[in-house]
Amino acid sequence: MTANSTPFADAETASDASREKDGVSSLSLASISIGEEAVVAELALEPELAAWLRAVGIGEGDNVSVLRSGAFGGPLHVRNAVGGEFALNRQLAKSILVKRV
Amino acid sequence: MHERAAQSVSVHTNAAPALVLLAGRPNSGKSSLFNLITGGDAHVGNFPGITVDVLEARVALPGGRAADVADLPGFYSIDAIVDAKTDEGVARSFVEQAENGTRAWLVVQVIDSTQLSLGLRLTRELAARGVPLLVVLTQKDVLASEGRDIDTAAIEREIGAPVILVSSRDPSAKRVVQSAIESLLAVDPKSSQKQVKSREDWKPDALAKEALIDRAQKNSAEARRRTRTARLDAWLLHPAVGPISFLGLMSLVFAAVFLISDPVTNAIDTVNDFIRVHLSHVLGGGLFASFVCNGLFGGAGTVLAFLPQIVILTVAMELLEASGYLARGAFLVDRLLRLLGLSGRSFLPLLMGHACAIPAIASTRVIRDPRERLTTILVLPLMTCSARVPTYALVISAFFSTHSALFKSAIFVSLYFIGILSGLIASLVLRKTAVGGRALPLVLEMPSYRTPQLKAVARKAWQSAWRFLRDVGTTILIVAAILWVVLTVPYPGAQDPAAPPIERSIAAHVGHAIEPITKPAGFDWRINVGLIGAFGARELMVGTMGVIFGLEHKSDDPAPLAQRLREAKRADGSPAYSTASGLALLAFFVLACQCMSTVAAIKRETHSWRWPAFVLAYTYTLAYVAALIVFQSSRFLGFS
Repeated sequence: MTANSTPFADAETASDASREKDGVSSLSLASISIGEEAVVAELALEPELAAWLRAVGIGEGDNVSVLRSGAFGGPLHVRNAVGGEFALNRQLAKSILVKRV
Repeated sequence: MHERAAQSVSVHTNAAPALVLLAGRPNSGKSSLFNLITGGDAHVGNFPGITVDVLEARVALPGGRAADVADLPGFYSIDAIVDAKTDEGVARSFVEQAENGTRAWLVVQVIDSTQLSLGLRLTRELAARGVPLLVVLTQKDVLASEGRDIDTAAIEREIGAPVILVSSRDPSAKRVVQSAIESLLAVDPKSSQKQVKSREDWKPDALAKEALIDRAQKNSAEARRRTRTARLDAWLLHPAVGPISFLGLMSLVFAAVFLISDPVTNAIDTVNDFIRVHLSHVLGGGLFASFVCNGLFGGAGTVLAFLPQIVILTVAMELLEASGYLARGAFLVDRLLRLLGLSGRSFLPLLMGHACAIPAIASTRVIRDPRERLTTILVLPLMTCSARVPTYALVISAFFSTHSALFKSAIFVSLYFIGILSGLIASLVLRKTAVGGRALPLVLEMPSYRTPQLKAVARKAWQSAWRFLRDVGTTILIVAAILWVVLTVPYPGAQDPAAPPIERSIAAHVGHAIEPITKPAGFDWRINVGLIGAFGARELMVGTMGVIFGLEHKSDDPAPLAQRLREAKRADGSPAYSTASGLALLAFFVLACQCMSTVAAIKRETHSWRWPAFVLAYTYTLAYVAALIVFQSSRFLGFS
């Protein structure tokens, strides 16, 4: 869908293997299970979006967990370490690379 | 710079009022603090270059200095901004203007102290920018009830700006905040920038942890608050229960809008008619009396008739927003809207569009993605706004009078859904064509549930009522005046002086002239005149048709007009209108953007004539084609 061509193509095109090689986690926020805690390793996003996420407490080094995920591939309900809760688009969550705690 | 150089109190009183910008994240308690320090006596400020309504109030500070306090739109970050026209962009341009201006100024950042570390992230950006800053932590009472406190001195040391902790519910806090503002304004900004040197490496989370004094059990109160939200979310965001309760709540909102606003609207109508009748007696007959009574008062009545709905819907929206539910609604519908190239953020404007497109278009500023915002603006005119209702009612009662009440209501409800459906299809098409391109994904805060503050809700309702009266009022009055002229003034060289004035009018002439085009869609010259009347404001259709059928003063009750429409004959004596023409007219009204106020609002929000022209062109084309198809196919199917 052209309308949804993403501003975070970076994370999707880079293969997991190449990222693994660079020592960066290939695990994304979209792939951790509900209730599991993780720490953000990298925001593979365009700078403005990444800056916004850092500003709201979902930046590198911040602890996050997924509370629930919307039906039919809907958004993720994410909580950060300081109690902020956000609805995040699932595609976006795929570009938020995390490490398990 | 003479305003700034002021040092003593006596000089301060003579200096130009200082500018105090109230900033903070959405849901930070900014509105409550604004009410507290200004006494709630606010008006929509007029700021050069800022097209957004920002509430402003002039305050006399305790030492005698005057300050204009502006309540900026809520924002999370001043650095990460995608579009200058969104709330975040507006807030930043305020700060930039203040930075470049000559007035003494100050940013007061409001932080909900129960969410200290989130608020401090914005503080870090503001401090790094070097703006003159005062940090006000609110919800002191909530903290205290939980046995907690905040070490404001510790925060001051790190961020290099004064910090005060208050409760917006405590009347004495007004003076505390005002005095803090005044003493900061008294400091020469140049020297203050040298004095106020923040440690640049401070971390919001660590600082929040350090500053929070927890006398009670650690985090127990916060845990309770979180548990309450988590429990509610378990139901309200449940895969099955969530959507059902969402639909229930939305139905409730709309039921309330119609049930409450209907009697109020009727009362306003009665008063307006009363004034009109008496005024026409006082002014006597003649053109001037007709202009004032039918043109101006008719127009004003139309505007006022919609005010109750706008106010009630705004209150409902504010309650949903302030309680934290609106973000949940956005969460639930995000997937659906994404199919159409939008996101959950478009949910609020699309919902508001069902009362009136004007406030809905203004509310698109919550959408961060410029393309999504534009798409939402462009499809909003297709939502079934309350102004369509009188025309739907007229057409349905005129053309489907023999059908059961259930059938009529079914038509009514399906018209709403056709509006939504056509809006969604239009957005899908627009996202693939005119407004194509990448989409910013949804990132939306899900605030904790809380009890709305009624004062803040009332203020928002007042603000939207005022904006509606200002924007729509002016447009409709102008449109009504023009309409009076084209319906009353005879077309130059009109042949038959014995014919009723309406048939000699400019509008009737145009109506006849375009009949060859509109006939295949089932519209004769009289409906054409009605559509000309409805071009500026669709709600004027009913009144205009009333004028055509000689029912000037009974325009608010559709029953006699519906009967005239049923009895109307062509020149050859056959009935002028059929069920097919009724259906075609409904199709036209669902799609056409017959509202100059909406066009003006789109111009204001997109800063160009291109998009309002586009909306007029595409909705009228769609409307005509739809009416044509509906008329021809329903005739083919045997509706006559």
